Amino acid sequence: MSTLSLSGIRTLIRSEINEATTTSLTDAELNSIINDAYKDTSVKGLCYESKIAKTNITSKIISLASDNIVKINYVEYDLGTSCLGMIQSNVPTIGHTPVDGSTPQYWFKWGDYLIVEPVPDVSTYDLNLYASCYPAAVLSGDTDTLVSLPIEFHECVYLYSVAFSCLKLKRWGDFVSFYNRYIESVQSKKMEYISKFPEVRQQQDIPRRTK
Amino acid sequence: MAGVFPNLDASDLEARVRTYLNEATADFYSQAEIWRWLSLGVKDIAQRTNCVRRILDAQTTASTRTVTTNVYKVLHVEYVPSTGRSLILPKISPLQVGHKPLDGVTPQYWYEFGSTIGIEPIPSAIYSLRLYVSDIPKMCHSTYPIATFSSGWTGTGTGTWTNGTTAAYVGTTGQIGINTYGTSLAASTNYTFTFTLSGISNCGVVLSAGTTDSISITTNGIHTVNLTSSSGTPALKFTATMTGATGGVTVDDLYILKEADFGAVGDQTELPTIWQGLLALYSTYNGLIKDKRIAPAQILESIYRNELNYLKANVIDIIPDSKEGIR
Repeated sequence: MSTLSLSGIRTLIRSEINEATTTSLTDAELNSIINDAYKDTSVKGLCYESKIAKTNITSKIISLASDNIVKINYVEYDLGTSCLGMIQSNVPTIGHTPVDGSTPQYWFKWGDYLIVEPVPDVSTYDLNLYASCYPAAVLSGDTDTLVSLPIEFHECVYLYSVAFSCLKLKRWGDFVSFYNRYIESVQSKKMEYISKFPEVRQQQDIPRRTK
Repeated sequence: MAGVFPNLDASDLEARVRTYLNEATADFYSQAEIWRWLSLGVKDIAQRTNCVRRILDAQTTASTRTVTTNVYKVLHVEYVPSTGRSLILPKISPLQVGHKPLDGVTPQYWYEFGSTIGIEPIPSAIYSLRLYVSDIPKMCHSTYPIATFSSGWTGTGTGTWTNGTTAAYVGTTGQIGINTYGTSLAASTNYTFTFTLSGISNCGVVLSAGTTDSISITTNGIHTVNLTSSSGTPALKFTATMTGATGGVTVDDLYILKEADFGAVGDQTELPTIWQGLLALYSTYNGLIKDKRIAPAQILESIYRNELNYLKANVIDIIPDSKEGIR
């Protein structure tokens, strides 16, 4: 399938629900559903990955209110010429974990805030956040495409949109069928393309025996 | 889409519910009815997932064990000493009070009981705390955040408040300056205020919702306080009190949240974006129940509940890394 545009997805949905022209579902309604699908895919797939630089930080609590972040996956302390990956901890560890020097070593997210421990003994410091985000902009023009999502997730948007279009048509069985296909699709693609599994040393060895 | 993408406001949510219920304009389903379901949905999501998370500023009172709270649940308590590393306090039950080994007089344990937390040992002085809480969901103020103080704010008292992109106060020993917002708050209502202080020197800042005052804040950084406004026409104001020679403080980025139901098309819930789409599902299944379509309503309710569990596990709950992870 070629790159899906907003009008292209609408055409696919209308074909699937057997309504070639506007009768039961208006284009505006379909656009809303497609934008919801765009967001939902980015949330469930965690697939709009964005590296966000937070600079000149002065405290241990950092606001994320304007960053459109779904989830922070990794954080690194940016020393300018090198970086240091930090461990995600949890609230109960504050003040209890051993620290090595005064560089930031631990982090966790709480609501709209990132909390770092310990605070470095410098006036300001920089972090890089490896985050999964919401799509950058709403789809409104017919030629707009799903630019925030990796291409392998585009069909998920279509499946979600068909499912929720079926709600209005009171085709409950079709809704459940497409919703299940959407969930299966987005979860398997998240596992295949997004989840990070570092290789262990043994993987570089030739196995002793294969059956 | 009227709300600011990716968020959905009351009109966006109502439009989606009407699409799913196949009733474009109000007839069988009134707007008030849909707003009521949306308001119920906000509370349902917040209570089931603990997703409205805040870090509240609090402090102890000398010779008083308890600190009053006004949230769904206090999850963790952090003791913030004036110098050195802050420390999360272990949670105990009231049964264990007096039985745990103590090291000094600073806060070392806490428990939750009713709308208070108890501190062990009984604080001998004022100690600063941070409360990691799951809170009541609220509605965003019409200007969210207030990113400039250049209009609507008036400085009075002694010392000088200068209102521009930020609100900056300068004073000298013993001076007290008050910066008041021209628009009154709603009476007797739960509010959450978040603001950033910088350049604080010889000064304490108190935020007031009418006659209800926050604790005095004396450190830089992001601060959040929950206040219930007083009756009448409560004014929102910052009061800066000088505690030493020349100094002052700068206030930046004020976020105001008010506990309220959906009541206007532009109302925007603070519920994180990931949950807002589920409000439409919650309201749709309530609409289907009204239409006596119980089987499809149950399908939607089941999907709604599964979505809550899935998103809570994948986005809200913190799963720490292991030490092995960096090797």
